[in-house]
Amino acid sequence: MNSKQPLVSVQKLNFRYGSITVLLEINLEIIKGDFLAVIGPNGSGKTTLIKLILGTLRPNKGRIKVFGQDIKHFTGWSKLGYVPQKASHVDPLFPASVKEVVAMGLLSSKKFPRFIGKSDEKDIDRALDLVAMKQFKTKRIGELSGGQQQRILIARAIANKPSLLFLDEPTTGVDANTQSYFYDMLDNLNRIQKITIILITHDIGVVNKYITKIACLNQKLVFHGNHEEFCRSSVVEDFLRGEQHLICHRH
Amino acid sequence: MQRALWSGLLISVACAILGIFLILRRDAMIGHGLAHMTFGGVALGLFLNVLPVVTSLAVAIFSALGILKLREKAGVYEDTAIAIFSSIGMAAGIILASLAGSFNVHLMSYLFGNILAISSLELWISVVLTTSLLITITLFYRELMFVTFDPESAKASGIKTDRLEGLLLVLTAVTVVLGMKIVGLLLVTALLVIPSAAALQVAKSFGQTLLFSILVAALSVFLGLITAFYLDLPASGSIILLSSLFFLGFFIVRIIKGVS
Ligand SMILES: Nc1ncnc2c1ncn2[C@@H]1O[C@H](COP(=O)(O)OP(=O)(O)OP(=O)(O)O)[C@@H](O)[C@H]1O
Ligand SMILES: [Mg+2]
Repeated sequence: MNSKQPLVSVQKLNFRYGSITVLLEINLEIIKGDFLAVIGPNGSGKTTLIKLILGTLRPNKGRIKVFGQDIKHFTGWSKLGYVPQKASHVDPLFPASVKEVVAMGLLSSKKFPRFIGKSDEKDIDRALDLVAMKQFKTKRIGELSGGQQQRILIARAIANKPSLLFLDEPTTGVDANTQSYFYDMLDNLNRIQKITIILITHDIGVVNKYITKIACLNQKLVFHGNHEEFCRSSVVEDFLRGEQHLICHRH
Repeated sequence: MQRALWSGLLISVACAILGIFLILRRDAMIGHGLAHMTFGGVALGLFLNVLPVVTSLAVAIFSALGILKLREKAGVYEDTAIAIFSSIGMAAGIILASLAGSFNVHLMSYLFGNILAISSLELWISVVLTTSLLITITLFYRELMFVTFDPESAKASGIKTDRLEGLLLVLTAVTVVLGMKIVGLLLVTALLVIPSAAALQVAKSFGQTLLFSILVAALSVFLGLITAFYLDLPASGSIILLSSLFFLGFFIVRIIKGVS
């Protein structure tokens, strides 16, 4: 794959649930090094878009390429990390320990049979360290609080050292301290380790200072560009609802 | 007696492992449904005069895949799909068995189990099938755990979740057929569900759940057979009641420890 090629390219994407159109004519390119915030109201199709890019949903129309490969025949799963929306769907009675959950994040880089061994321990520890949860390693996931579970799912997503990370409202229910700690960490991953990040968020104010690009979704992709372009664009008022002074005067 | 013990241990261990995945997927009743369809398979074997294990295996696997297909096509609730399939199996079974003129002790042994009458051919079949099942689960252990915990993320990690789901159902079908000889079709769900449910009361990890579930299953078979032998009771009933006692014990431990 050549270095100028986008990591993700979405072309003329349409998606419907039954007869309800959720995404219409989406064209989007994500370049290596981007820290992209995807914003939009509830039900605007943000989660759906990520699921399409990750191949867990199939488009009705259009093409999706990840690392230059059509997602239908994608093989580079170990380069992707994904934090799904809401940890609250974690079954409180599920018997997996924190360690076992984080180990799931290592499976995509393993060939059949995907065994987890002693040599994986340091990757698990490093991921848990990054979310400051190492002391909970042997706890059952269901015994943790919602915010703590969310941190474990984040650890699972970064355990593999992915080069493309998808986060769907990852800090919902995470306290303010941990949030800023977490976004500092993402900022580090993005700037120093050159990890490309796609972040769905409703708190543009919180992530504002870290991101490099913004995409506004509302069935269609109504805006995609950098921060300055966003603040000059006509959609800014619709999407920020009077908060634009806080957000657009960041420098 | 030795044959009974060995085959009982093997099969109950297979059930103990599979049961965990089924329970956590909210699929505990699938074994029950498959058991009813397997009854149709047994009757078919008696009717055609082939070894019932063979026909029931075919019918069980076929039904497992049928349920899978019905689920994929929305519009039929899962438990409804199971209810429909199991009724068909049972109804066909009753008619076939009656046509075969074999409403007798033989048929009873499939419904209620007759572990002490297990033949050496049946023992070998169960050894081979259980061993392949254990190897399969070992090879797919982490993937099955991931898919059970969070199917969406598993799929986004390149794990073939549909195939794993099919695999799990086929393995369950095989296990139900194996369990039929031990405790009978009417109680095979118990073998799938009770040891795992007991383990889930106290385990702190997936690995622990497996271990406890296997221990409960094996101990229940071992002690159940001994009890049955010395008190002259049906083995199936003793095994299942003992495993229920383990469940009760673990349940009480959980309540006392006051955990979630
Ligand atoms: N499984 C589903 N079946 C049918 N419709 C669905 C399903 N999932 C989502 N939708 C619909 O698709 C639309 C987009 O949903 P999506 O989850 O992508 O929104 P979102 O932008 O992520 O919203 P939020 O900010 O609330 O997370 C919504 O109108 C929703 O009702
Ligand atoms: Mg969403």
